[in-house]
Amino acid sequence: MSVREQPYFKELSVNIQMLLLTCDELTITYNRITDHLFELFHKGERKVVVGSRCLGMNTSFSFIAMDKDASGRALEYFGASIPKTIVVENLAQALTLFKCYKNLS
Amino acid sequence: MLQKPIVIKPYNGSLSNGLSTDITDQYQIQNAYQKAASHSPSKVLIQEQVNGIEYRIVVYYGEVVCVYLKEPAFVIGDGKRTIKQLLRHWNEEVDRIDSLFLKKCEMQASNWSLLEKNNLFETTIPTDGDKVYLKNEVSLSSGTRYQYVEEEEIPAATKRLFIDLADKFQSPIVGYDVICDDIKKDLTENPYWLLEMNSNPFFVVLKHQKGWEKRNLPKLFLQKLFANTL
Repeated sequence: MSVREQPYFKELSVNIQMLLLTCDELTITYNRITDHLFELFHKGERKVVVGSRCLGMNTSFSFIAMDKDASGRALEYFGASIPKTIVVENLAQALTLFKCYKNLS
Repeated sequence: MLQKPIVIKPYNGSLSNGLSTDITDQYQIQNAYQKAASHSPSKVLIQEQVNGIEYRIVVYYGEVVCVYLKEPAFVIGDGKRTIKQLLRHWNEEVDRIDSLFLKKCEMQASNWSLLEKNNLFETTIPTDGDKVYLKNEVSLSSGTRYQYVEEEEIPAATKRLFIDLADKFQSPIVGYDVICDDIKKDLTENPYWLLEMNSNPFFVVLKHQKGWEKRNLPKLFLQKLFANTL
């Protein structure tokens, strides 16, 4: 769905910021970020930016670290820490994780 | 290994929907998982909670044009009214302003429970001038308040850091969400957390804040955006 098809677009289009959404420049920005993340992914650096989560407007990227390597690369690349994160697919995994980690109990 | 407390949130989503913070026990995990999974059934993120002050830094065409603080919902005591009365007063004020960019602070049982851990209750009367935070999460929908940080207070090296990052991504427009102790410190020399970068930084949340008229960010953005065509 394009930005202009998003349900909130009409509602917010009165706001001057939303004019930006109609501009190709924004699309270019989004694509450039996406390309760059994919580039990192194909270089095997996906653990730095594993969570290219698509948020409300499909323009946001959250950074998550899956292991120490990811944390280290993020520090090197961004000069920043990124939150340690584990992706789970069901409650059992979440609870198992909880039980495994003594410092969570 | 994750350190507690942890955060559980949907893999996909926005505006803190499905988010639970300050999770330290198994019972909380079960509730938080169900809440997150209702927004993204196939995947859920379990994340180490990062504590600190969250800021949005907006870079626009090689310039840091705006930095703002995201403060979780709060009330300020007057020595007379209870937290509940202060909150009601604030929410009435938000109703009066009636804006898309300012939301009431709706308290859930879990929010009150967090306050209770600090011996704060609906009936507590904060002393005059005391700021009482009501939530941990920051998002428009949770009643977060946004506040400009004066440009001259941001070290030049910090600005350069984020401008250079934008260059790395070849992105003229980027909003960074960062957590640090103090944005007035040089972040090239002090630790900070990078949470998110956003190619459509949502600055209109500042519309009702002091300084909006003076800065006129929409005008600045449009001037830069169409600099080559106007």
